Amino acid sequence: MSDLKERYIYAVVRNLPRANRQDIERELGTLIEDMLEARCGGETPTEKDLRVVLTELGTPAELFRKYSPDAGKALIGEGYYPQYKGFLKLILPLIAGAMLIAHLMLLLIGEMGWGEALLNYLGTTLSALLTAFAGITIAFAVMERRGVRVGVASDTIENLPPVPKRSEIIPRWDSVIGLALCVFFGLMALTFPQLMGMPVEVNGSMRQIPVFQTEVLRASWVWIVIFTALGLVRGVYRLIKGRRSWSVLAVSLACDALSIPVACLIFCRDELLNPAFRQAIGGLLEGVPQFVFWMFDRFNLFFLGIILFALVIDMIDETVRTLRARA
Amino acid sequence: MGQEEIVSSMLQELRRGTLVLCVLRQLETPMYGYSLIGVMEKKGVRLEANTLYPLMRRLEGQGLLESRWETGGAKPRKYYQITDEGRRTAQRMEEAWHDTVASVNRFLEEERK
Repeated sequence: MSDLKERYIYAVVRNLPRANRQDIERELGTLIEDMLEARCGGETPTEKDLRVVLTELGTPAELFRKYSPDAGKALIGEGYYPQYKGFLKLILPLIAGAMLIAHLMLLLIGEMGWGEALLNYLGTTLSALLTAFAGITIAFAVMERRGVRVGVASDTIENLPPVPKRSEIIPRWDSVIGLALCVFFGLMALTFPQLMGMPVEVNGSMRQIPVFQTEVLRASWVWIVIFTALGLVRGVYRLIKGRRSWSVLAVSLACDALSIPVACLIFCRDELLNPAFRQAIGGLLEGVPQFVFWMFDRFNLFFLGIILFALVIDMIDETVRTLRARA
Repeated sequence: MGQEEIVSSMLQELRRGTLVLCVLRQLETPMYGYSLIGVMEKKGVRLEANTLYPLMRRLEGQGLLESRWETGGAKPRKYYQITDEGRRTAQRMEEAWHDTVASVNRFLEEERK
């Protein structure tokens, strides 16, 4: 009989915090004895009496929930769950779509055959989806745990934000396109840098010559991840807030400004440009104006220039739009 | 959910807050959990052991109760007692309780007319 009691108590306390376990164990033991004593008077309790008492106390799972300090807590609570679900529904198809486009391009340039492309697509997409799923889950779990409340219905009626004016609203598609470009850039640069190239005729057949040396580009993976992450933070924050505000402007400016040195670290390296590309392009550029020649001869710097130009334009555009909206 | 279940869950909701007040007030005298159940039952307040024990631990964690193990008797027992913080909380809860009872009674009287 005492075996059943011990097993019951063990089932209740085994997953409770270690610090309280022994104390609750002793307390429950005494409680069960008191209840048996009250039930049986002076008689010796039978196993049936013990079963009645334990049934009265409830199942081990019920009692565990009542004792558990984490009762009612969740990795991602109900406040954030709709947003979490929304992000998964948005980001995961974006990744699958970007990977599909990349593989179709690989097929088109003859880098892979159908079978290889299909297997590669399934493998790399699964791995990218799992990574994104884990990343989004961890990000929301950290916000939940730290009590960060961004875009969640307010717990109080104090300091409620005003209803946004039409000019203040950031269209959802605007943020989604930004996120899609960001995901596409990150995936391309990390997984298929050879797709950034141009078809050149070599010995009578067309070949895709990558603009950048893939190994050199991949060696900068940390900076590529940081660059992509900055774009994602900017896009996600805009999407959550959904309106032009000082905080959205600050996050956008900070992410854009930080992206500038990161982009320089990725694209400023001379060895990044593929010598085969330089050689192939050299023949095609005879007689073109000097600046066009320079543009292709130093394509990594030209590419960097485009990125920096886009970042600066974005910073100006965001500032002007926010100032207008808040005026 | 059947009608009985709905009523039962509503009554449980009604009782939940009042139990804390009763437990705090009763624990002016140190008591162990099972004796508290007996004393309260005699006074017409029914408590279930599986609710009371976790509740007392929660109140202890909030600093409203304190506890100590007595190992001198036939069985080791954990005695709980109210703290000064618990007394202040119970006082505020009691005032709120009287206000609530008075206003709800007034409301129900009005509705009956």
